[in-house]
Amino acid sequence: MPMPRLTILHDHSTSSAPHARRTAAAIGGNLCPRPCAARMSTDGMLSPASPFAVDVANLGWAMLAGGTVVLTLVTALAILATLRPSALSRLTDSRLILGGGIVLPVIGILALSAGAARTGATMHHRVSPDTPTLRIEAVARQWEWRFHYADHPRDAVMTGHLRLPEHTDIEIVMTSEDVIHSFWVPELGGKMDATPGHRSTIRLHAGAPGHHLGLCAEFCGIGHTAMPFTVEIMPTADFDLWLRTAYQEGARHARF
Amino acid sequence: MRDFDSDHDALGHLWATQPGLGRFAAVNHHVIGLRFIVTSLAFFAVGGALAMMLRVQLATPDSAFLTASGYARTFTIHGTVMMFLFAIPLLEGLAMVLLPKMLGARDLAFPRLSAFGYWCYVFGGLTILTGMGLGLVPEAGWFLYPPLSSAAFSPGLGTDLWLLGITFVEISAIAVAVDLIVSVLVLRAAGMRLMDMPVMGWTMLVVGAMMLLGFPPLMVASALLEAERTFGLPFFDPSRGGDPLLWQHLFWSFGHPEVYVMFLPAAAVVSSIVPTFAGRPIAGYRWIVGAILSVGGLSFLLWGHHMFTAGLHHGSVALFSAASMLIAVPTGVQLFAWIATLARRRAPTPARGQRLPLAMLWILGFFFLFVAGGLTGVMLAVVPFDLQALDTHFVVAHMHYVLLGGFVFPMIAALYHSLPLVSGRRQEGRLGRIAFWLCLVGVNLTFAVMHLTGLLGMPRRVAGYGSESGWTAVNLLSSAGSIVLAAGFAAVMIDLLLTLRRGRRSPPDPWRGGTLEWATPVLPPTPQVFDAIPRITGRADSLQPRRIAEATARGEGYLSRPRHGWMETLGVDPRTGAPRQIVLLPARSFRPFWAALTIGAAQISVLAGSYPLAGALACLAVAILLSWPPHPVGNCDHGPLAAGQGLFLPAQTEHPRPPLLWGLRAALLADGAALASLFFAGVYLAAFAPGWADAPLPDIPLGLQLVTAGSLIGAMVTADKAHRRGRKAMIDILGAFTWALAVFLTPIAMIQTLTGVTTHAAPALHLAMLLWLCLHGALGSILGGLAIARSLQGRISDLRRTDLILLRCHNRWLAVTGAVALAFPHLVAAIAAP
Repeated sequence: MPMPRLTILHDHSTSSAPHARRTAAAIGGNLCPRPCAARMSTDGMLSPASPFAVDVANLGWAMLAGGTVVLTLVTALAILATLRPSALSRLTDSRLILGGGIVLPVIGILALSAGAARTGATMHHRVSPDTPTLRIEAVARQWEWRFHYADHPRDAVMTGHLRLPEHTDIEIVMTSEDVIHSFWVPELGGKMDATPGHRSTIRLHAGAPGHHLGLCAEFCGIGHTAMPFTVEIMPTADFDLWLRTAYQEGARHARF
Repeated sequence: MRDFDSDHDALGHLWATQPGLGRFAAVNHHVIGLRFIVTSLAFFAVGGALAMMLRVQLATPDSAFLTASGYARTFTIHGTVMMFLFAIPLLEGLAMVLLPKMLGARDLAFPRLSAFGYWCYVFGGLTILTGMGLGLVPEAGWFLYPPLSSAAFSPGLGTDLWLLGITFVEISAIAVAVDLIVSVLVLRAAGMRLMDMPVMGWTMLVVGAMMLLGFPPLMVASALLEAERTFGLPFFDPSRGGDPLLWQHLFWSFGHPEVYVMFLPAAAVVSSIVPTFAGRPIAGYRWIVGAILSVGGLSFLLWGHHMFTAGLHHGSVALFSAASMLIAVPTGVQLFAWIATLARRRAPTPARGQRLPLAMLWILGFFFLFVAGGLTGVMLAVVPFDLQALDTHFVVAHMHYVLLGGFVFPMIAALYHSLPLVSGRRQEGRLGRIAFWLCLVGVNLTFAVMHLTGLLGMPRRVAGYGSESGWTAVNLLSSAGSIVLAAGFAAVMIDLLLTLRRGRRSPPDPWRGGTLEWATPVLPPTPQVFDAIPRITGRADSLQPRRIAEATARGEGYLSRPRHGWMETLGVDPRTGAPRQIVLLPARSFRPFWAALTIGAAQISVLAGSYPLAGALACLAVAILLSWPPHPVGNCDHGPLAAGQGLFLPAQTEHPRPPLLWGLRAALLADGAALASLFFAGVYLAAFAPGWADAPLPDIPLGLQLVTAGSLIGAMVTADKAHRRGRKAMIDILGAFTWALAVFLTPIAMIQTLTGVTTHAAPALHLAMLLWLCLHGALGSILGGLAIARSLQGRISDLRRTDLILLRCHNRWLAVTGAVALAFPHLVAAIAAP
């Protein structure tokens, strides 16, 4: 399991960028004293931590409940029809086929479509118009994720560890350098493939401060298992301070 | 009576399979179908053993039982074996054994093709298993997504071996599909209308068509990937104008119909066992036929639901999602038609304490498991949920509920139900029931928990997990369940074997069925199945098989008296079922075996890199296929022949629509699907792949294109003329042959003008399309050459025009598809133009 580390990619104010990159990598462990992702526990989709993930979890529970009812009904009907057909003798063939085969699924599909549309809306719309948006570029490769704070004045790259400011809409634009990977943070919800030659976008909402496990969901070779990453949602002030400090530490070490 | 007995014996002798080495020459549907079933069950055991290895690895955290690479190989081969070497061949085998008997025919339309299909399957499967033994196994999962499966990330022969072996098995599936479709359309009992057919007949008609349309995309994709791996032609490499997503589109436009290719025959099994148990014809027959047709159609519209996270356009995601949910309607119709059949039955209800037939027990298991799997499938069709659950163990659980519950359970029911047809014995005793309960508990224990594993965030295909991940207990439960399940399946196999050897002797028609497969006076049926082909009136699932068996044993019906040692069965009008022709079936032959073996050897030579040898072997295989001797009935004109019951019918050689014409049409359907896949690849890449802004679009000389177009028209016109002229057509046949030869040669000249085929997808695509055209010119030349040879042998007359009918049909198709192939570069250029 590679330790998360921070790299300053380039520096607008000094000319010692290559040194900065090397040194910052060396001190990365100190900057990110987070536990290794694989050593982290998660309840996955069962402990949703963003509006979208909460909506999906609720939708999932609703579907599970509805599905259980349908499953029980159909199984009971099948067993009853086999063992005690007299109980169903008042229903005609066409009533059973129309009712069970057409009406029941159509109602189910309409209900599901409504639920899906509602949840889909949460995914695509921002929590509120004045929520700030942070854009991050992610590049996957065998077998690590690199996150690039593209819009930040201090351009920085994190490997295996994604730090996000609290209560912010996040837009991650991703691609891959080699094979197809898939970005997934179960507790924040949603999944997106990182495909070579393509740029795909996922929108997340970083809520309250905390830690979340991220995974690669698309089989990407023998290192697939060892490709988790951590997501750390930080208070905004800490996040800004961290980016600045990270940069300064990198720069200070670079002078040696 | 004596007379009928001697006819009976003569027929039996004609249709029998020889012992010893003669077994390799078997072509009988019953024998070949059983071989498919037995071989597929052997592969089921292999796939099951691999599954157990996966469950051992995942049983405990930080397991060291398999390496990451070993785990990847194991799940790749597990999926491959189960999908391609177990499921499809099992349903093919079952259909081959049952279908002719259900429809009132003595065999399938193309028995040698059935045998060829079987040997292709065996050699393809052995290629993959041998690769496994030698460690030549892909590690990219059974859907082999590039770039992971490309030469850069999967070096070595493992992936190549997979691609070739699977293509071989697909050839087998296409051969069987052609065979089944034509058999359903033409070879039926007299008077059996299309709307009288048993549900199994409808199902195999639709499933055959789905295989013809659904398998070519994978074959094309495999060929493109193999060309990229071996010759560096870029189709999936985004840095050279290719696109990894192209593979996903092609793969899933095969992969999703394939799911229904498995489910529909399983549903047909339910549709034949449930009415038998209920003692009445199935409820809502027309509804069920409609449901089968709509499932077949819808199944081609939902491949995208495997790609919701691939970054498809929102609109197409919504469409794929809607289509995926809609499939619940025809499925629901079938479920409730079965419930209605059971609820309003005529057979007496089993009294308290009386046991259900074992097959019904498996059907009830199917109801529960399949509905559960179907409901999680609907959940996955809901996009936001899918974005969370896709590629987790939730999907693995869903898929196994559908495949085990929706396919394996009904198939086991079908095996128990049809055992008397195979061995004349039926199952009894407790082992079968214990096996059922073990399987039912095993499936639920293994896979119900696995939904939770997925919801807890465990992605599929991870080789292990840490102890603090919280996934330990659920995985241990699944692994424990898998042991129960494996014990259950082992018990089923033992029970089936014991029944074959020692089961209770079964009287004819043991279940009081309503379909023709039970209309046999003895069990197992004789090789000719029917001593006389019966005439039926009304629906073919509400017959009285015992009476029909008595009648046909007395020789009442058609074609009861053998002549000239011919193997005859009745050919009917596809729609009305009116008798139209006498179909002559070929005798035993070793050639299917040798042809498949030669193709297998050619594939191995490709792997070994010796292309000249591969070419020579491929030519040899074609030569063997061409040397299949034509039936002696075509040596001279016969005119109408006595078919029994005062009816006179032409032999197939003298009929304007012989089974071969239907066979060619079916094969051309598959050909069209292959062309459409290649066409789609070009249009898709030009429209969506990166790096097409300054694509090097080839400039093929206009003169050559015009010559090709002219040759296509020439081939079509001369073949039409040849067909009109009949016996005096030699000059036109020669013309058709020459024009087709030109269609074969001009693409070779055009290929010479292509440059940079390894640098960009655009010229590589044109190369692929030109090779396609070249290959079809070659096929046209072969058909033309065959017609010349037949004409010289005196096998073509004004009455006997089969070769000319085939030539005309083929060359018309060649002209249309050739025009598409010629238009292809222009269309690609137009789309790529900024």
